[in-house]
Amino acid sequence: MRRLGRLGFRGRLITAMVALVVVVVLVIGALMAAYLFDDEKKRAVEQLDIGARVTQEVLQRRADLERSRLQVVVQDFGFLSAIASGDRATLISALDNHSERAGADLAVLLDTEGQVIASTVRLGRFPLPDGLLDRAGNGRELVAFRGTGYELLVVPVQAPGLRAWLVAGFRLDDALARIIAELSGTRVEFQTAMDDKASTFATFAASHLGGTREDVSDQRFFVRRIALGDSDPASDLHATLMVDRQASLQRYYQRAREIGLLVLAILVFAILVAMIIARTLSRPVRQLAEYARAIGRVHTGDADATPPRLRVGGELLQLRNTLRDTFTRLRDREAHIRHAATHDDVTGLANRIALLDALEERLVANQPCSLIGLRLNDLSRINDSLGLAFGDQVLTAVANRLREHWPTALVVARTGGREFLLLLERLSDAAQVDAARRLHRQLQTPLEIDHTSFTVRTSVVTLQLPDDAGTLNEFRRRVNLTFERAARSDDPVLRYRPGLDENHLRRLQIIGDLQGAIRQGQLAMHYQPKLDVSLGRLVQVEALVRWQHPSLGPVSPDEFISLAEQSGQIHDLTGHILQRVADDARGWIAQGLDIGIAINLSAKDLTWPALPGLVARTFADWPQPMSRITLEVTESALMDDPVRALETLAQLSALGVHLSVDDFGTGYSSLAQLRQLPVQELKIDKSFVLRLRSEPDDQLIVRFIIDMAHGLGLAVAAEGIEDLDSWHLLRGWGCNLAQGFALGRPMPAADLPGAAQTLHQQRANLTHNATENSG
Amino acid sequence: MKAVIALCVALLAAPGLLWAKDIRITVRDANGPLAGVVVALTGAEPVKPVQAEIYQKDRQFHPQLLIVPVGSRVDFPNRDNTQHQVYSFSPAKPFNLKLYADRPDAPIVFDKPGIVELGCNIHDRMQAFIVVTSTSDIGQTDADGRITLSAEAEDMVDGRVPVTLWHPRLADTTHPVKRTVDPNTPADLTLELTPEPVRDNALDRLQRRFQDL
Repeated sequence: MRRLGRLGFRGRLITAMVALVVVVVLVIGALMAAYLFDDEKKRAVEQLDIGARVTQEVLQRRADLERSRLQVVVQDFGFLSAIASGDRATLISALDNHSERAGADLAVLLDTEGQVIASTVRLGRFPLPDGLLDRAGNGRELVAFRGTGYELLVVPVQAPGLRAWLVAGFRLDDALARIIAELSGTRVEFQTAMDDKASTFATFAASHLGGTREDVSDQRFFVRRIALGDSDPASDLHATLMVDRQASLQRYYQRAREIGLLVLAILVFAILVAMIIARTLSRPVRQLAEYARAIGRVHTGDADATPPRLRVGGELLQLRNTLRDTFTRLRDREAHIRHAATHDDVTGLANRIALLDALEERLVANQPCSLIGLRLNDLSRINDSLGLAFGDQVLTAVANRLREHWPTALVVARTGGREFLLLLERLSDAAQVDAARRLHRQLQTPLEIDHTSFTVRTSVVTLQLPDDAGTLNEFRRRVNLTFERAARSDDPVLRYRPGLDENHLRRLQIIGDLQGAIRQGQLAMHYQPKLDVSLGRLVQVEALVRWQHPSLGPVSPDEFISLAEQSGQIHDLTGHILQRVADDARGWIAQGLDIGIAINLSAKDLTWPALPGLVARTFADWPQPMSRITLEVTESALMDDPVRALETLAQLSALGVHLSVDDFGTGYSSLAQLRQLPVQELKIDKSFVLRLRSEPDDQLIVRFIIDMAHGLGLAVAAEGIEDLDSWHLLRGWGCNLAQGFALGRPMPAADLPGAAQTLHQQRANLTHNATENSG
Repeated sequence: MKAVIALCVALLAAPGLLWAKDIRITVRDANGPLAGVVVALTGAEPVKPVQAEIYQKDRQFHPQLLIVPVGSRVDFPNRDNTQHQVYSFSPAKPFNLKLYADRPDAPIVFDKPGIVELGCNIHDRMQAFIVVTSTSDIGQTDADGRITLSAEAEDMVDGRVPVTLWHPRLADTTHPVKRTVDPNTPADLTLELTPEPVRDNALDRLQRRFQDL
């Protein structure tokens, strides 16, 4: 059962119209029925009114007729003679005779005093009404007399010389009732009250009215009582007029039935008409609703929606046109947006999103394919030197060429500022390489731009999918990596090499985890002994950081420090290491070990203005002379930004710390510059020291460096000493500090006292051999 | 008639010369003085009967009022071209002259005092009165409604004089109206009469036709 509120437009329309029609028809029908009923009732009442008037009129006329008859009687000479004779028997017989002539039912003769002279009836129990003569002028009097209604007429007898009154009575009889009944069409009864009981003495019912006296009741009849005995209320003489209710209403019932049938017919007809109209009215609305639904389906990419043909005009047509126009605009705009979303606006090729979508479809469907990527190596340079508009022309020319030569490509897309990707059906590896080389050649052919030939340098990469990348993320990353590698490669065409991406991921993970490692103390500090070469004594340790990664295992400092430099985390790392070393050193100094520290600084640290302040804070109140702290900086670090590096070094030097040039001999520092640096030490790169015993060239270089440093007033440290021979050579050449596995491996701070002890015991050995060798 | 009345008055006045007194009566109704009212004293003395006649001419009695002493004979000659049936139902003298022309067989003797109303059975409009009187003190008012009667000692009742008044337009013409007057002062009496019937004297069409026969 659907509620009204759920009905559609047509349903509501039909319901409303039918309801309206029902209400109107029922109201009209009810009103008509009520009016008819009222009318019939009124008609009956009118009939009674007419009956009442007829009754009065008939009585009056009858009285007039009787009076005129009586007038004749009282002027009859014989009658007058009889009165004048004074003979009672004669008088009574004459009265009887003459009243019969007049049709009277009784007659009484009175003298002028009202005394009865003669009467045709015995007036014992039923005396004449009082004051009858006084009212003689009124014409007639209706009285109940002996249980019957009589009309009494009083006529003066005025013969010359005679004065008397003739009272004549006429019965209200059935004949009278009949006249009234036939004239008025009502049933007529004359009644009088006798002993407080209504008694009907004359009655007549117009035959066509039906009904018998037995059914008389107010339910059965419309009744009107007309008081007749106005002079004597006690007699309660009245005429009762009755109209048969049933007969009277018969016509009403007939009409009501007809009206009912009519109402029913109209109702059925109206409902039919309402349904047809509602159907007609709602048709365009339904069409529009279907049209709107069709538009909705089009949105979800189904069928096209054609606007319906409407037979109506006006608002609905306007609505349809608006819908159609809106839909058209919507579709155009959507197409535009879709195009813009999937196409590159400069070249008109598919864009990155379109390519990735197409690729994803292939990957999901597990359809192998080949991909060739192309990067314009010097686009930014072109943009810078020849303008962006020219750059765009270059891109367009490249795109046109790609379109021209690769019509079979699944997708040709510009996926980045200077990057194009071609998605192809799966080729064999060899065919793919051929294709890539062909592409490269095609682009080597000079482009014609603004009537000038122009050649671009390109890198081309290839990937076989899904072998080289199974997911979009892998794909995006690996294409990029391959391009990066290709840029550095000699061969302009490069295929993705498995593993390239894994290194990349490892670096990303290291960068990501480094901060947590610093905070959680995953970094461990190790210290490698540095010995005074002449004394053979442990004077300093170089702080080295180690990282035991939870999943990657040990990570080399070279790797994560260089990544920290790239990711901008190096300052945090430097600060952390400085603090850790300071804490450890305070520990062993407190144990009585007189060992200085050497800490490596990153090249980035030298351009970090906060570094001197950080060092000063970290080593405030240092228990040893500040010169026992050596900060090692690489030669290449000094070269990146010599001015700022020099500034930083000057500030550090002012703090009193020792500064050392690390890895000396591998960079390109000029000696003139070296002279100006506020450093106290050169540390010879271990590549010169590791094979010092066997390589005469290295010996030469090391000796030269030592001599030169000494000449400049700088101390010299050597690292990478793996055998005692090298140690003795360096000792012979006057090297100041030495460091290497032969002297001691890096160790935790806790092992330092033991190592110091061991080195102390070996001291004689170190110094003894030296004497022999140098000698 | 005047001679008779004058004689009567003379005869009656003679013995009571010492006592006789003139009673002046004026009779009027709401409209003014009434002429023709029959005024009589109630005293009774023998008056000599007379011979009189009321003839019928043009369907009317002539005269329409006749005052006669008791025992007078009245003849009713018919001078119309139609027959008449003259009758009276008055108790003073009921009689009935069957339809006749010319002159009835015998005159009628009016032997009792009273008012006799005459009618014709075939002409209801014809009406006449005969006042049969037993006194000579009787007369009709003049045009000013005045009459003077001579009263004597026996006419007096408790210092006043009873009089009877009668007029054809009284409501009940069968009996005269009784009044008393003070003999020493002129009396003003009033009567209520029925309005004069509107009667055009010209004969109606039917009558005229009959006349033409």
